[in-house]
Amino acid sequence: MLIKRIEIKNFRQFKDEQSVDFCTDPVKNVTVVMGDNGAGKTTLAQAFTWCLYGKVNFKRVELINREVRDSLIGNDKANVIVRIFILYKERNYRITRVQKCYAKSVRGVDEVFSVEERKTNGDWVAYNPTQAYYIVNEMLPESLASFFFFDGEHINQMSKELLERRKSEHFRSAVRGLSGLNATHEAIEHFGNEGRKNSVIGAFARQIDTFGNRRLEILAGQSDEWNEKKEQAEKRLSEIVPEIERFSSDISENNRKLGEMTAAIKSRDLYEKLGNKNVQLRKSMEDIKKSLFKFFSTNFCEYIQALYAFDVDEILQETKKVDEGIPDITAQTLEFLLKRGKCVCGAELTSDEKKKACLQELIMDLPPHSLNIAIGNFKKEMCSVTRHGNQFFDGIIDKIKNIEALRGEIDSNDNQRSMIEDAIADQDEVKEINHKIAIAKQQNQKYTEEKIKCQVALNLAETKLKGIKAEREALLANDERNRKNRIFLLYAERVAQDLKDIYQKKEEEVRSDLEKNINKIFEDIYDGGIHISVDRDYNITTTVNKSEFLQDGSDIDQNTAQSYAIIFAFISGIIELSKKKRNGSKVDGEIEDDVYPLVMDAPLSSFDTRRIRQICEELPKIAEQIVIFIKDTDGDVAEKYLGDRIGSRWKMKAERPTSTRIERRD
Amino acid sequence: MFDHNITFYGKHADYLRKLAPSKIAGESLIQRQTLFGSNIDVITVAPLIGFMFDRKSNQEHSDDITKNNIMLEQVLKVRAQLTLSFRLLMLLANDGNPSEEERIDRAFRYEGNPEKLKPLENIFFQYMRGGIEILYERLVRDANSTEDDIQNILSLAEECKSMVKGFSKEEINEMYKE
Repeated sequence: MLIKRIEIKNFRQFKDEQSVDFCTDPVKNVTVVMGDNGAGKTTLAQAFTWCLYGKVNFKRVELINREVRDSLIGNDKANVIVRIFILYKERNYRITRVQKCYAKSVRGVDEVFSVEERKTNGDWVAYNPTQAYYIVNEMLPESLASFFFFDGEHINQMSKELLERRKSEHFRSAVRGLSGLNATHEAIEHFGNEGRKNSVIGAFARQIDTFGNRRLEILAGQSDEWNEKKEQAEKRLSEIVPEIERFSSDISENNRKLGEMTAAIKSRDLYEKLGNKNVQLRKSMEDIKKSLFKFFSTNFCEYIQALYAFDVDEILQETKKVDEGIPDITAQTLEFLLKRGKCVCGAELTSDEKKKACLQELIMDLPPHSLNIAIGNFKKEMCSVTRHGNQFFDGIIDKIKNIEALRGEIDSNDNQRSMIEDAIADQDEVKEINHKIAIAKQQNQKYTEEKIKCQVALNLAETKLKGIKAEREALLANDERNRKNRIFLLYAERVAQDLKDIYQKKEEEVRSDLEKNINKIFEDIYDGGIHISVDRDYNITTTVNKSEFLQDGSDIDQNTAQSYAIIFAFISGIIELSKKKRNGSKVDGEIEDDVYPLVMDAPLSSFDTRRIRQICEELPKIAEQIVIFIKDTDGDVAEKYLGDRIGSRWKMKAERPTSTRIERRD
Repeated sequence: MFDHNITFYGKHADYLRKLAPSKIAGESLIQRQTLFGSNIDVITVAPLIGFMFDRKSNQEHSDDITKNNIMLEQVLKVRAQLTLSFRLLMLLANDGNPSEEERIDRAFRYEGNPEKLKPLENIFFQYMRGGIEILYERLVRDANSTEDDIQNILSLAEECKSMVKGFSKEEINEMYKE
């Protein structure tokens, strides 16, 4: 598009109707508008964006000229009008934005926007509001406008975004727009994903779910549940199986070690067996000793008594005093009977002298007068004692022999133990190995049981899933719409993925191209020496190429001029991209439009003479139409370097702070 | 006869304590196992041992050594054995050079005659104390272990056997046949 003319009325300091015609000549494509500070250069630049998009960037939001506003009384009204005449695809358009201002409400709530196309018969035909919006955005998307109409303040803002690594969504979308990626991006967004119900994929996915009957939803839930169980079982199995193998290996290894120790263990067993036996033998020996002492204690007396049996027998044999008596009857018993005068049988004794005499004779044979009974008893006792006592010595000998035998056995066992002592297995080691085996077996058992449970769970889950799948497939197969939607969904997903791939690839290419372009242009303006790289977020990093240029190769400080140069380069790069895109996507028969205007406010004031020359040489190459606002003091410089490219010259003259007039200077 | 407590004093109390456990209140048991299960087992055999080794000993009076009292209840348990030992000793002992008849009278006739019996009892208890001394010397004094005890028992039994005329079972049967 090319801007042929702008008409403004009551727009800020431009009171009444004024206009500027811009050159559209391919060679003399520069229009210079000179004006001192405050004359309204920035306002004029803003008039373009207000007209096209309804946006301004003033601190004071009021658009109407102050003088006009102040003149309004009562129900008076005045219009703020900006109208731009554009040549686009060899057609002429008239774009008008009008703000109606009333005395009471100067901010102008009523705004009218219109786009008209001039037909061949000379009539202007208006587009409806939607078409109007569409055609303007086709000519120059709003997102890109700031690259084509910019003022000093705007350059500062861009500089911050680009060079100070702030969020550069602005540039990202600009690049997308220029490089034709916006459509792809929009398409990707439109396809969306299953989680976004308003996207294509989301809608298809939901349709599948909603078209399916309630049973399908239940099956989907069950499927998720059983899949989760299956995964859990599989995961657990994958953990358990190595554990089982590990413990099995532990058991084998430790059993092998035990096997190697068999002989030593046998020795240990024998050693312990002998030890245990000796404990028992010693106890038996102690018992025999105790019984020996007891035997001695209770029988020693009889033994000694028995030893004298022969001697006393000899003594008793020599006496005659061993007579016959009546057992257990003493002399006192008979004396009692005589005194009583009556026998134990009841016979009277007092009168019978013969009986008395018999008893009295008998008294002499009874104890204490007769010792026969006492001696007889004594002999009987001695007989018994002697029989027992004679066994005493043999008893003692037997017990001592038993003790000796036990002692011998104990000693023999002890000897054997000491002989095998060195060959026995370390009991602790054996114990430890056995302990390890026991633990490993226990763990093995535990994990094996768990493995069985997991396998059962897995089998169950698989069976269930199989059933669910079969049922679901049957249900789905029965539902034609579902089937179709499934296909649609798959297509949509595939297309979305392809778009994403394309987008990613393209964006990478675009960014790379942009970087190349920027560097190329920057090199032309700025002698090179500095490399500009653009990262994924469209942040700009400048690095020094030549080691002599600066001491290090890191990010360098930008002075204002350099920043401006980078911005120029960036804008130029974007314009280049845009051209490339338009050429690349041209439809056969479509009228080509790859020309752009570049409206700049005071771009040269920050540069030294040498740079200005370079910029002035480059700018006309970048854009087909240049509108440049410069201070009066820079006019000569511009004239010097752009002279042969300048098609028209205009002068802004501030009559009052609230009124500026624009005049052709040619 | 043998119807009173029997009390030992001085060394005899001590010796007896070492030969057999004593259960007098307040007196700790001797730790090492004693050879005799009870002091009544000692006093039944001690008089004949005293006689065999010809050792009589008078009663000692010592305040340093706790007396060793055998209660009547215990005495009565072995009264028959004590009586048998008394009669044996009276038949065998030569104290006062008694005639054969006098030996028999001492052994059997004076049981109900305290006046006659008293001096005989003294002799019996003198031999009993002597026997305790012998048993202590032979069985306890130099013994430090059960092995020593066993050896001492065997030695004493053999020595006793050698000191008295031995006899066979046949001889015994002959002697005491009905």
